[in-house]
Amino acid sequence: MRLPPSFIVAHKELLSSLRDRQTALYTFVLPLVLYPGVFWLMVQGMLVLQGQREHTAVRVGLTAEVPAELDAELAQALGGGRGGSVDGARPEGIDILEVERDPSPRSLEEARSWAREEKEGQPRFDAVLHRDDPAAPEAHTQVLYDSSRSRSELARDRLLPRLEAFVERLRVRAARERDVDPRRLQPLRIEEAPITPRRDIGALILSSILPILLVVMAVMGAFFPAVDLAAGEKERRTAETTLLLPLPRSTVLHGKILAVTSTAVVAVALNLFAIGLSAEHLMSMLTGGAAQASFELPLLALLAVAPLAILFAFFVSAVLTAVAGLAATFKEGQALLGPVQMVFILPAMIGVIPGLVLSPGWALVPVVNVVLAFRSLLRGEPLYLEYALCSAALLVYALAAVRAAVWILSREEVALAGATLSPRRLFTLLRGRDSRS
Amino acid sequence: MSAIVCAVLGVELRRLLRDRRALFAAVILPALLYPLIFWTTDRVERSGKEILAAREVSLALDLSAAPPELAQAARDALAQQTPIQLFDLDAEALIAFEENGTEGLDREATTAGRRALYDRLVGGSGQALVTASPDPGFPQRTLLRIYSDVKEDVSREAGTRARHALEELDQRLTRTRRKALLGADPAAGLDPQVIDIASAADSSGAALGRLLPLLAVLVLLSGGSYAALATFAGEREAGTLETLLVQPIPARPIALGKFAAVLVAGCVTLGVNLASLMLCGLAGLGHLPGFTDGARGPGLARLALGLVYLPGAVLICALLCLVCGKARSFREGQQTILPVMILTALPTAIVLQPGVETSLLLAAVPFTGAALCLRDALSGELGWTAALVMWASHLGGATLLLGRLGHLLDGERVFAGGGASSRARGERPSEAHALRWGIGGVLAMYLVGTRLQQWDLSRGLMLTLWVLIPSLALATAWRARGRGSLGRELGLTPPRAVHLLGALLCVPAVTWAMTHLLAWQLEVLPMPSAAADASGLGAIEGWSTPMLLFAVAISPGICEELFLRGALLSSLRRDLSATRAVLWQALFFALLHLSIYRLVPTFLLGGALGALRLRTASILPAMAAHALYNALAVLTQGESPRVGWARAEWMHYLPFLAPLGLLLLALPPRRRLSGGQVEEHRP
Amino acid sequence: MIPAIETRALRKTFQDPERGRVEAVRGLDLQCHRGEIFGLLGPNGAGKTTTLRILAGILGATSGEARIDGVDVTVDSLEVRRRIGFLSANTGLYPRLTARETLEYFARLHGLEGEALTRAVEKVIAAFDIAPFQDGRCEGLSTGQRQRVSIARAVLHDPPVLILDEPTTGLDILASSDMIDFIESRRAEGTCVLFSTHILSEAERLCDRIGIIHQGRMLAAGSLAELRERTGAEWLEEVFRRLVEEAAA
Repeated sequence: MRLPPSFIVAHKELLSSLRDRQTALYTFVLPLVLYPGVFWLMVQGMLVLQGQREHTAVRVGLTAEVPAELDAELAQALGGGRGGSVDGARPEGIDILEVERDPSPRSLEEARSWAREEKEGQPRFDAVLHRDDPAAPEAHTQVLYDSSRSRSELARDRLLPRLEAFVERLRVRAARERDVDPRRLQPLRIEEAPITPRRDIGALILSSILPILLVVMAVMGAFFPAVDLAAGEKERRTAETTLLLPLPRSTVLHGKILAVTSTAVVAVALNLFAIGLSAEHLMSMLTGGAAQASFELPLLALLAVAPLAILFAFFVSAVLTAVAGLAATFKEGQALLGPVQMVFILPAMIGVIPGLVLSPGWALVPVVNVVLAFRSLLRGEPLYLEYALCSAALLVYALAAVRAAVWILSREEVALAGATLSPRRLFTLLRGRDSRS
Repeated sequence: MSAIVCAVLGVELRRLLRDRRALFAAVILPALLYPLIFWTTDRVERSGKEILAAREVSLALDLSAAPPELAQAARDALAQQTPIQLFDLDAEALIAFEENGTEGLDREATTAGRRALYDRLVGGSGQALVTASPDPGFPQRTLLRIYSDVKEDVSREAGTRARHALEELDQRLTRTRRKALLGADPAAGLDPQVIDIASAADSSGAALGRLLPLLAVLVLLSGGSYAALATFAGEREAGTLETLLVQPIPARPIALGKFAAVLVAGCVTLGVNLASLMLCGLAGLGHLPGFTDGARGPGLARLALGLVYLPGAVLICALLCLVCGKARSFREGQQTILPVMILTALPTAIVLQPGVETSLLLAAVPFTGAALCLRDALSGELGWTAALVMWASHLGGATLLLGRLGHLLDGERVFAGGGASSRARGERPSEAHALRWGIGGVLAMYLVGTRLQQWDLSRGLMLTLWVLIPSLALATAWRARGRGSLGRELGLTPPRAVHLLGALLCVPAVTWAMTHLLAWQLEVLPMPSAAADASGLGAIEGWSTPMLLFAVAISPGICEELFLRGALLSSLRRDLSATRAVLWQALFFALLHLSIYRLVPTFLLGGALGALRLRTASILPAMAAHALYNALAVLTQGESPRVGWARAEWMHYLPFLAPLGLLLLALPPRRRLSGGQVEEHRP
Repeated sequence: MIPAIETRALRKTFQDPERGRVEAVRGLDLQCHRGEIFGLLGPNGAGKTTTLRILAGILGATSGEARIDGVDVTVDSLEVRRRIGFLSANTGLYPRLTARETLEYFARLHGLEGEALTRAVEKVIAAFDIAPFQDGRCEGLSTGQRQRVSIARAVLHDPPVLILDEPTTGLDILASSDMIDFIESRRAEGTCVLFSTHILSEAERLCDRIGIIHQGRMLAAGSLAELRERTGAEWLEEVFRRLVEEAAA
């Protein structure tokens, strides 16, 4: 069987771009090495930071408008290591909170200035707790902290749960003293009963990241091949050789777009695979092996996305190749495609709006439709009409882009141009009023 | 020298400035994009919230089991979450299932059972369900259960609204109940109220400080990479490099001049972008951190303090120059930008983490240190020691990179057989082979080894050690051995008995040194409690002593040695000096353990074992030493050692055997040529 | 008298990733003197460009010796580069600099400053008639104009030795005859000119002596008459073929 000529061209283009060691390296090997490396670094970095945080001791000052017996007890409850229990159980030397109590009465203003006090060039306290006069209406315990200091944030984060536990304990004790069952203090209990199976949760997580990731990857994956095959051709001075082929120019162009599409698809698939492999590992590292219980990847949904993703890659490839064809060198091609890339990625952001659903109307809007369709597909929503509309719209847009690419790029002013087309020149060309040719 | 640098700088800048199209794409465009991006994200966020908030949800209720006044209160509270529709149904079956049906079911099965009942009861008529029943733990209390499907946007929204309303109700009821039961609240005045005492400039600066370092890296990379590509790769491509190289000037000032041009381009881009960003903030476009709620940003003086980031910019630009200088063409250079971006952005992303203090250790880490100092400078917290450490480490790193950059502009590299990397590949095939397999080994451990051990610890460990690592060793050695024997390539040659003895005698001293090193490392690099629990013997605690010895002492001793000290080291040694070969394999050994806390100890151990292998011309002493070291570690370390003699008096004297061991090792190997050196030069 | 250019047993081997070890130059001996034009003649891949690059000090020799004006290129390559003017198809011009800026830049790199710099630049602008397009960017110049700027760039510092690697490749008839005139004029000023070519007529017309190089070896060197005598052939083309065949046998 003889392959159609455009496939022969695509085959040659693929072969020649894969023979370039560098391209092969960056398209195929890099994702497989890079993502695991990056994820490993992230996990280890988190561990180091976590260790550092746990071993940072913070200092807290405690004052009151009306000092009372309570303050000593409070100071003891707040201080110490993790758990901060009154029994003095400080199991490990981590999450240490040192409390310094000021027994003299202070107003809130005085507490504020105390919180800003410095000792040997360092702030004396990382946070200050100030108890209002309990008799006053709307009395509170003010937690004074400085959001611009990381230690201060740490102090606040350690203080609040300990304070809450202390309050709870006081109430329970008071109830016991009055011979009241402490459980009666709480007339209601609210519980969320999950009805979402973990596969659906996996799908949900995926559907919030993957659509935009797919768009970005398809655009990035098509970027280099498009520039290489369209502008690079001119740079390598092989454009003329190609034009001499006994084929219509459109066939050559179709072949190129096909080659770009397949590279983009392979790049997307490989990237996803590598991310998937290492992300699962990352999750299990972060959750201590419990990740398997919390969600699983919906493989079928991923397969369902594939046809649409390929169609989208085709669309992107056609557009990028058409634009890159206007440039005379690789470098110029890149400069041209930079903004075009944004044209794809910005609308993709619209697609992540929660609550926006794939309606027949949205299904006709390029890029947004893909993002919405990916999301719905991953969540397994049965919107068959919309999917069909979306695919049809994509196909129409892709074919239109191919037509436009052929129409522009097969003009000899463009195909053999020694310099990149200026916008003005392109405009005159498009209006068919080219005085120079 | 400086005249040349200036001349090169001037010309490079002129060339960059005249390339208007690229200039626009790299410098101006991002500055124009900010307003657009801020505006879009802001709109997207807001309209997302609006769409959901405006959505009418329909909520099913079964409050029949609740006391009537409570049911009415809940109904009232829920009705206020407009637009909402409430309807009653009988969820008896679901409540019964929750109370009796879940026994013996795991979480997944419980969810599935609940789901089936929910679908039958509510179906498509409502988006969420609230049921009431007596709390099984305390029947006088009412338990309210909220059922919603988090996967569906609307159902999730319905669930959220229900929770909000009910929690508010809960608080109100609790307060009333407390008053009724206890009279006055014993914890009166203890409810916390959080007050931020940071000054406006400080908090604006802190908010901006979380965004700016990452932004600075990205912008520097965009502006700097365009300049670096034009000045290095572009020059090569335009064919002007040879013109430059025939001039009577050393390559170093040329490289410096070009680097300066890249730095200027990067900094100018940063300046333009920063200005655009600040204008966006002041104009109130989107939610720029530090400019929300009427804040006017941290002020110019604070921003000027941000100059402390300069060494970070210098380092990034030096890295870009080096990468682009290695590239043979514009295109090749462009492809390397993404890895560089990840390498620089990842350590910078640390500023996104809350509660990270700028310790001296972190300040010395490239990119991380600069990012933290910038953050601190903006929030008015800059510590000068940390800043000094950061300047020293970053400028030192940049100097190193620039030193290498000078070499890249050397004619040999430019003209002899293409780019620098492929040259190394062509000239040192064994090194390239070993590096490839080393990286492959680390990846295999990361992706396969850990997975195996997650699946089943003991079987996974055995498979990793006896199947995965030996196959890596064989595969590495098979290709590399050339015409030599596989055994020799792996270092499986009989050593001198005295060497074997010497190696073993040194082990207690190494154990002793390692214990102290680990203690010191724990001070500098404290371990989080979760990791500390996991890194102990943990799950294998229950194993019998012989089993333990086999699994964590003998097996690693044999298998890891085969791969690292055997195959990799032999291959590396063909092309590299002994020191470099040992260092490389030690690095792989360290990375193979996949934990940052074991990086330094395993690196040192790997280095010592590698040196031992080269010294004794055999892998057996290294195997024995490795196994003994691991055995000592698992038997004698920890809270309650496995063997009685771990705390014995004579244990303290064992390290003093080391001099004797070293003396034995100083005896010459049996043959002059070691396994790794036989085929030093292949034809 | 010290020869202006001298090589002894010059060798250069590369490691090429695709082809493996390549011996580009294998023991080349060469001498040329002031006021002499020496033509290095050989097919593509004979080692001409590599030899010239070694002489210019941008490639190091694997073994052997190369001297310019008595200065060893491996010992002091900077001094060597000060004494030569080098021009090849690969010594391009910066597209976005003007002709004048280009010349000023390279004058500065040669250590000229202020008055001396202006003088040197003015001199070559006048000599090569660059003035009409001196403020045009190089990317906009015609091939001939570009060639003139390149030559001006190479002789800016008045070098006693001129090394030209296939100087007429890619030039039209007018531009290459300008080039040939230029080479002859340099001889008259006592410069030593070493140039490589594969165009035999050029060599016949210009060279005082011709060296025939093939597979990295110098097959024969001498004046045209000497070469004719040695091979018994009349035309240079024939001389060349016989020498190559002789070497192959």
